[in-house]
Amino acid sequence: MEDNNNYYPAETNSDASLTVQEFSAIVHRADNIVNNVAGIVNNVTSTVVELRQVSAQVELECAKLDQAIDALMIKAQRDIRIYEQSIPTLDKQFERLHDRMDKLMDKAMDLLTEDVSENGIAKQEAIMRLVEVTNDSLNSLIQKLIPNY
Amino acid sequence: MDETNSLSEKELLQQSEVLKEFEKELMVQLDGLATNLPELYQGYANLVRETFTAAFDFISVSSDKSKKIGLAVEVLARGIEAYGAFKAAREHNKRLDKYLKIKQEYASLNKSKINRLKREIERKLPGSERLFDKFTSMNFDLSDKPKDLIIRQANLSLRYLTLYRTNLFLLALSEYLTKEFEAWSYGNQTSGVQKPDYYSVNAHLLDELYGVEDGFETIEALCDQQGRFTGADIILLSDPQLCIYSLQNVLCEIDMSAASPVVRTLISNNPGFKHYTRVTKDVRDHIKDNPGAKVWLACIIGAIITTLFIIFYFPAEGYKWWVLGIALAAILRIGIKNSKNAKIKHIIDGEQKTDETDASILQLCGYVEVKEIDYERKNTTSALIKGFFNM
Repeated sequence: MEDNNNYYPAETNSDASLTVQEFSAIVHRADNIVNNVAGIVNNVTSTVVELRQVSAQVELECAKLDQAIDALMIKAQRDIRIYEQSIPTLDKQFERLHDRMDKLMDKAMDLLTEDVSENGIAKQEAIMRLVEVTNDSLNSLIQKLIPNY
Repeated sequence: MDETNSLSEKELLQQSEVLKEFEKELMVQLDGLATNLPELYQGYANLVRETFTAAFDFISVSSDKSKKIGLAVEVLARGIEAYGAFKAAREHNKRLDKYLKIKQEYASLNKSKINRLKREIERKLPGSERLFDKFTSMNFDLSDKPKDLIIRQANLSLRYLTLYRTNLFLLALSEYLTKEFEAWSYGNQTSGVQKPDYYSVNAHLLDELYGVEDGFETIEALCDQQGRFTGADIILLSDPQLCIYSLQNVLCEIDMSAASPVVRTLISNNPGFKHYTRVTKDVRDHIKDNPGAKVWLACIIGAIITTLFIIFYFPAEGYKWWVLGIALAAILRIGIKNSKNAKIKHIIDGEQKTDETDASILQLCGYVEVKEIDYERKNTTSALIKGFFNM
């Protein structure tokens, strides 16, 4: 079975997940800092300096998050450029796989009978394996069309 | 469940989390602004109050002057608190505006991709729908078939279902994304369309197969059925999600002893049904359990032991019956109190158990909880006034 992923020159998943991981780490850190604010503020011994430090820390984390969003938007723009370049290849891939799927579906329809026998079920299982493999390839292409960040 | 498609349900759900990280970030920021900014300024206000209170301890002023200064300090402190509420509302709106701009840019960038996604799924769906429709309308005679052949037929039915259900979910997802992107382009934070999950797809499937919202009666009727089954029946009895979806609103035990061997084979091969039976049994057992009876049994045993002890071993003969009367009254009182407490605890535990069971069943039906974001713009003037008067 051909690996259809090779026909679509999009970025690798590891690259995308790295950015998401980094971003999640920043969000998580900001979350912790924001959660700590209440504790410091409610502490009766807190001084103006401490409160100011907390305030500055929250603002800094917000600024970092804004930067991270900008970085993700740049990545989104890059992904779209790559997608647009790959449209002709993608068209061919989709067309070929849809055609193959249609033929397999016709065959699966023919083999689908009310006969519950070893032979009848074995035939249906065999055609369904082919349908599922082609469906997997189609889904892999479709997966690349779902925006994900 | 035998998940035959490589694009599994879990992967699809993860994939559908468009702008998930952005939303997570926005929630952190909005929550932080809503609670912590006013608290931060409340901290400043409290500092002002405490500083002036401490200063009064050292300097001597007349009570009239003290009242005036105290009032001025309170106005200053409340002003600081009000500014905190005002700033939180202003920042909240600023964040929403910024987020909307990002979403609009994102929608504009991905518009062609989303249109393509919808087109490709619409092209892919009819084939799997035809196959599913043909299978579900067929009649299969399973009465004298060996167990392994029935299980193979059931597994095959799940493959037809999975193929179609995945496509239905993908279609719902593409339609949802199209609506969301449109709403963003028109300057709205959300389309208001419910995000699709497998729970909603299962509801659609049950309606398509049997024209019902609740499949409990269908499953009950199938339990009595012998011999011939439609493809839809085989799917309903074999698929964990559809089976649990059908049973989700009832906690009663389904009597399998009278069911046909075919139904017993299909159901015993269904992990969803096993899970349903286990979790609902816990709740049913809890409902049947009477904690008051246990308390009273303990009290009766305690009363008998106390009575025997006092009759045979109590040293002061003249006071024996008085002491026995007081002891039994005390045991009765303890019994009433503990029985009441046990009943209250039993009700609370029962509610908690039912909630946990409901959540676990919903999750198995494919339900995904969506966290709400506060997209409403805040009125800064109202926040300022409310902040000042601590409303």
